Amino acid sequence: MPKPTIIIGIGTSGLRVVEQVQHFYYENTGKNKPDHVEYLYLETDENSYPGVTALKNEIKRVYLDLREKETMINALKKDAKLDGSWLPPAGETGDNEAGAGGWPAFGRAALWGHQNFNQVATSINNAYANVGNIEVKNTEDSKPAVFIVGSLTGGTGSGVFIDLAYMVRNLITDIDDVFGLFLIPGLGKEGGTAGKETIYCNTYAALKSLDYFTGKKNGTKYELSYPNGSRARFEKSPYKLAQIISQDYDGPVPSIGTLDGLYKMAGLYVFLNIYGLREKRMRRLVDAWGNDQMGKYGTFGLSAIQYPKAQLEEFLAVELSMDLLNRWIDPHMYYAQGNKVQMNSARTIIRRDTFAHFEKLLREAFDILNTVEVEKGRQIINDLPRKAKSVNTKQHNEESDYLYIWKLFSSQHAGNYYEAVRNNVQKARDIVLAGIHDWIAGSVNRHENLYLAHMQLQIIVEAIDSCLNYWKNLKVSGQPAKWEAMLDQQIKWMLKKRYKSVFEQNNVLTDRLQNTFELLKMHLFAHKLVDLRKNIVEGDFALATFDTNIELPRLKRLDEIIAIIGRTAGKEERQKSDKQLNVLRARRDQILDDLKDTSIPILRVYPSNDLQYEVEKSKLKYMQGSAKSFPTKNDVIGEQVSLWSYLHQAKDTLNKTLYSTCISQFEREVRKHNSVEDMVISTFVEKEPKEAQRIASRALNALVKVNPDQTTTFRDHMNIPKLVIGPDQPTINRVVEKFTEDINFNDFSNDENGVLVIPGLKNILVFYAEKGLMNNSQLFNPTQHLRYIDNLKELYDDTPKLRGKSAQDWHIIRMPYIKFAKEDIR
Amino acid sequence: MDISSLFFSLEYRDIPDLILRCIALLLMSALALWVIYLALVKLFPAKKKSAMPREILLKLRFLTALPVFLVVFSVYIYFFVKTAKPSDLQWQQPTFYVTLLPQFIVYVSVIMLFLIQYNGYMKALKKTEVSHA
Repeated sequence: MPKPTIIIGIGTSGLRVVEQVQHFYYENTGKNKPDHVEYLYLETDENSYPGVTALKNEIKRVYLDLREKETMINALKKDAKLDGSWLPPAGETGDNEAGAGGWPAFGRAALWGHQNFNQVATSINNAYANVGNIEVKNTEDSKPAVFIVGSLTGGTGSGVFIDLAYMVRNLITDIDDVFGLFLIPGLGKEGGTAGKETIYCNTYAALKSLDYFTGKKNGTKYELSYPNGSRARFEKSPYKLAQIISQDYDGPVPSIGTLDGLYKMAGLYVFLNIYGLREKRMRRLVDAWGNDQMGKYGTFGLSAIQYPKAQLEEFLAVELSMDLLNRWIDPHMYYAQGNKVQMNSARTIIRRDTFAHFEKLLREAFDILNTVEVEKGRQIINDLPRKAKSVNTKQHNEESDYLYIWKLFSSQHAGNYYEAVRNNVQKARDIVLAGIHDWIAGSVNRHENLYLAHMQLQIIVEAIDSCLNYWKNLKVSGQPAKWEAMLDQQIKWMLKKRYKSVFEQNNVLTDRLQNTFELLKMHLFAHKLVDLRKNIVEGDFALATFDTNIELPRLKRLDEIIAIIGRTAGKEERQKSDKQLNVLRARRDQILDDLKDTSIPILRVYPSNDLQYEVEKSKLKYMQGSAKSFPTKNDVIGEQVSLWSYLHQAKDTLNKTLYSTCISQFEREVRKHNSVEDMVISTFVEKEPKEAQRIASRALNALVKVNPDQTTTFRDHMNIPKLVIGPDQPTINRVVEKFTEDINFNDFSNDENGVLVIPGLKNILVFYAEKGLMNNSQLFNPTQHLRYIDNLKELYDDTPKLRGKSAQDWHIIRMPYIKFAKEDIR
Repeated sequence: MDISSLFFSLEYRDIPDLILRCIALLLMSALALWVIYLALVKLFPAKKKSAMPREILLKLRFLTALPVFLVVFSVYIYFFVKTAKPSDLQWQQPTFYVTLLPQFIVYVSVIMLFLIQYNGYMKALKKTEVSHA
């Protein structure tokens, strides 16, 4: 029976860990989370969001809005029901601008801000309602467990982690328990703290605060009123077990090289816990807790041998995404009916077709003006022969034929052809506009090349210029005065020789009236063409059709889209303003760096022992599986969606949408075609037992440096879990037997207590060792046993002096859970 | 003077007779040309969706009418010669050639007209009426 579990990440580090949990779960099950688990994360940084996943991202973001920090803190201070003594000065900004600014007091205040508090409470309640909906009710198995994960170095994590744990206890009445996993800084390669005083001071303050509510000496009660009016009163510690990990190992093992590596290990740990490890651990730890072999604090060693199938799939997805985006902005080639075509060599044909299309549009636009009704039920085009007949038979009331015709076409006369056409010229413009849109959008959808569309749009501009020049040669002008002059000449010509001798005078005059009508249309449409041209070339906002709101394609917008796609693909160097930009090339490099990172205790193995070969092989397999030689938009947005309208969404979101849609859809496709196959890890152990042993033994070292007095370190105990975790017992047996028989490595056993079988686990073999008991039988307490705890104390005391702050001011911003009194802290 | 001596006689009488015959032939030719032109215009009207301006088409029909007229006129000349007696053909007499002057004038006029009309037609084509562009 799966245990209902809520995982809450705090701050950006918390988010990264939860993302890793989601990633591991997806890798092993093809889903982002099981039904009995909910992911939440609390964030004060408005620019931090969950990353891309192939399926819908299941991490629910709860934003702790700190933009109105000053107002919020003042409001909390004024609230008489609340104890606001811990609140920081409202007007200050913190160590930096983002989120809680590195001040735990701001982090805590962010949780307490009225709207924020209610939002967090609602999110927890919703998560509880979701995971609580399981088959078994009112049993131990139906009680939810909550994991809170985050870093204690920043303002958000160290500010909210205690309140949050108690808040969860207060909201979830039948809670099983709250578990914490907290990341603290290591000493790093340099071993120094210079320049990083803030993160070490925050860590020290957070550990002291945690111990304030956890340690047995003080036995401090947590008793207060929450901003929503509810009260909390707890005598127990906030966490059943708070696990502390860092990049440093206890012992001579080199540190994990990157923070991302630590997130990965934390993610693996939490993932294993929702996938069966928690139950196994708890069965053993009950005895350890009962016998004082485990306290409220712990840590662990964790290592794995993994075939990084999910990373390879993502890498392949990123490469395919880059290929697709580069195809869309290839300035030299485009695809026509599956064949590559050189843009330059096809230019003549493209020009001819585009000109022809424009002429067709113009004809359609002019034809629509023919159908304008000049009298009820009579269109102009049908009215012209009647007028010709009237002139030839003198059946009109004007003084002369000249005047009669002049009144039909003059701008100075109302209710005539001129007015009728002028009132309808917008319709004609809309036909041309929609036609240009359809031509360009159709080209983008067919050929998936924006440079081609750019070229076509430029040719349309040429066609407009050419048309306007032609009209100019005909002496057509958009100015009414010039039209009147032209009309005078036209009428004189119309009334000349009319071929009466062969009885063709009506036809000839009709023809000439039509000719003048065409000139009238040109005269009134010229301005519209100029507007269209101007908008295409330099418009900031697109002209649109009146009825259907179809937008005119613009060169500027195309340039913008091309630039965004180029930057998303990583064609251009990243700009300073691109901080928030999602770049595929950067992601590809990141995955590669991660796969090549040997500092994390996960050994990446491949069937061919060659990462590059695996990538090439997978790509080839994908292409064969999908029966394509190049990626298309159908892979990403489907056949039904127009690429043109997809790319024309708001430019602020285009980068994010492109990035996430491409990666997630290609990942799905890659999975669908099974382009990256599974690998049986035990075969690697059988081939390379020494290498496997090297990585397995890293799990024996805790992920935190202890032993400040050079004598105290962790010790193993039968009640403290040490496990080999694999997909089935025979695989684990083969591995453990290989270790013991071939290389005499006996630290892991394959008896019931040493093994955790997780049937769904794929492509990974994990080694886990829990830590919490010291060799002097003391229980692990980070405020006593961390290797650098004395340095932290000193740093916490000295830094305020260096920064010109009083000890009390320093305390208020760093340690909001403890009232300022030296004896409490030291 | 009957009709046949007006159009089919090779006999020279005097100058007024010659002028009369000349005017009669020219009038008859004009009538024939008009009939041909009208027939062509009505028998081959402009197609409804024709891109060619009506005026250009009419000019073209007239240009077509001229060669057709020449054919008809040649038929007339054939009968004109056929009806002549051998004694009428006085090749040595200058008056014989004077008698042929009306037919000659019609021939030359038709050719001149063709050239002038052709020139006008080409000019009109170049102007290309905008309504049919």
